Amino acid sequence: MNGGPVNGQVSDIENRLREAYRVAADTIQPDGIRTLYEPVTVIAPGRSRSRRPRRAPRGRVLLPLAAAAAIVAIVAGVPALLSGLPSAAPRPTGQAGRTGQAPGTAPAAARTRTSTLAVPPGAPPYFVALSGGANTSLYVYRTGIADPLLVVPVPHAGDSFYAVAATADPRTYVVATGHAYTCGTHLYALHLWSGSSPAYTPLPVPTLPEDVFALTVTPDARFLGYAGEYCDSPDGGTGDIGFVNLATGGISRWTAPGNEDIGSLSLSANGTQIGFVVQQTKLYQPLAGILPTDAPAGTIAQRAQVVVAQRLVVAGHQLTLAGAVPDAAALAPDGRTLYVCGASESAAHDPLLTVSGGTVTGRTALAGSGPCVLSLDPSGGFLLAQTSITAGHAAAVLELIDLATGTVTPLPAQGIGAQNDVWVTW
Amino acid sequence: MRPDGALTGPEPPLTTAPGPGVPGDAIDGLYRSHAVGLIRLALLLVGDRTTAEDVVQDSFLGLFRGWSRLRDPEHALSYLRTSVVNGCRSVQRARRTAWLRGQSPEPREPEPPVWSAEAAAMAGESQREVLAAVARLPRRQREVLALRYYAGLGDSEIAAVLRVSRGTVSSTASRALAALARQLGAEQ
Repeated sequence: MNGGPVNGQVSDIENRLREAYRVAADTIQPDGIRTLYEPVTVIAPGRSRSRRPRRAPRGRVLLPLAAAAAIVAIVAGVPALLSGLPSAAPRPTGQAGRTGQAPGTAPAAARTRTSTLAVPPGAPPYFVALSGGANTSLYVYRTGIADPLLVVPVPHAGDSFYAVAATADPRTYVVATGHAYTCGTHLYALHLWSGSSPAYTPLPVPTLPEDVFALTVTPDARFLGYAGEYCDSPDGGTGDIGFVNLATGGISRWTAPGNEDIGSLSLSANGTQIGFVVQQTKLYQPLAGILPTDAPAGTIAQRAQVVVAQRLVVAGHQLTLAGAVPDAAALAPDGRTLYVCGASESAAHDPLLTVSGGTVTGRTALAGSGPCVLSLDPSGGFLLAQTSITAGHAAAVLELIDLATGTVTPLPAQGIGAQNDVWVTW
Repeated sequence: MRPDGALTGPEPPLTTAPGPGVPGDAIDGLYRSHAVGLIRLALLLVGDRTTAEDVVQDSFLGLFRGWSRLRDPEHALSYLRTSVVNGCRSVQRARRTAWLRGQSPEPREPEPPVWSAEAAAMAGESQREVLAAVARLPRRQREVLALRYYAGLGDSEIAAVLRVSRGTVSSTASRALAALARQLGAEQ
């Protein structure tokens, strides 16, 4: 673990965890275990206790309330949303720094260690990252500068950031937050440099009855996509992809029974398609696919097009990643091209494929190996890729890929750890 | 992601007879070398010793029956780890189902605590707090923590055991540590 203000606390937790596990595990000693294949008598635990009545599953109560709340929120929230989110506001240009323009936001530490790197012209000026054990802070980086420019806290103490997505305006992001012991996710627009402090505006979407793992938003902030796992999911998890029309509040969902590992979402610019990665389902091998957002409700397996899979699912209809596990995907603004990287157990460099029209139009290798994270800037011109390398210890590697020229620029970024829950997005 | 040593093909009919060419000595050797560690892992996941030993016995029985379909015997331990984790999930699912049907007094949440009278007698207050907090985490977070901080596996190995990507392992561990930090911080 490295970087971030909570790492000391996390290390202490890790040490306490190891010690607690050791103590509990030591109650099993080699001389006390059964021999192999010895018959046993299983005694049902707690047989003598009184019966407890069944509780109503949490989601059956919450969902009708959430639906009712949604109607109210949609009606009341649309004007606020449209005033709070940008409509493709122009991106800042030039190299003038914005340091210090967000009083109230924790200033980034150790500016004396700042190193600057030349970045290609036209590259997005900022990117953000969630990194560190607790994800209680959002780090804002200026592209090419190692130290974070801003450190933004969660809207409510005790919560964590679950995911973040960028709009076309680098001053505005959409974040998903929640509390570890209360299943459910809140969605906010985060406005940086909006005044004296970062401002959060709740989106006109009711608290989602699930833990959200991934988030995407169109550049104009009209449509939002998310992936998560239902709170009331039976063991094994029921994941889903949700699509929200932020103007109307309408939500569409597609489920993945038995799977909570959906992520790496990206929307086409017009919001008609969502790129995604599924790590594992009962129906598919790990895969990257595209889901049309006008598809009727159903399972992701029914509605999505598989683009890249770990192994062929239906021969001739998708590609493989040379044995690597599809780990991240980014859909181009036109919705026709999908960039897919994969985690490989054997290779030192993750493969990155460019897939368009069902064929591979580009193939390269990233600097490090998995897990990989991809983020395409709203213009579709630059890809941000995160992998890790092991040289004594794992370290994160960020690369800026100019898709027009193929130029790859390594990006410095202090505080992004290879083993942490990392999100990077423009 | 499937470990190289994963069993493939349909589940064979339930039988106690070994398949052709099963090297009993090899399985016995695996049991002697790894049974204690696997039982300890199962104990951390299901919370009681009897069930933990049952799960591990079942896993070895599965290995015994499916040995001929094991692609690479060198990966038998990887198969066993996956089998133990899956066995623990099945136990917890059965407990939960029994509770939902009113057949068991065990509540759905939190999961049965990773604690025993023996461990309680040996441990201090700090360890009890930590394990109680772990017991309140979601299932996958508990699995990742046990595999990483008890079994000492790397994220790639954990990914192979749980059959998820390394990215999922690291993000799950991060969420779990964050939850523990908040929970334990609040108790101090």
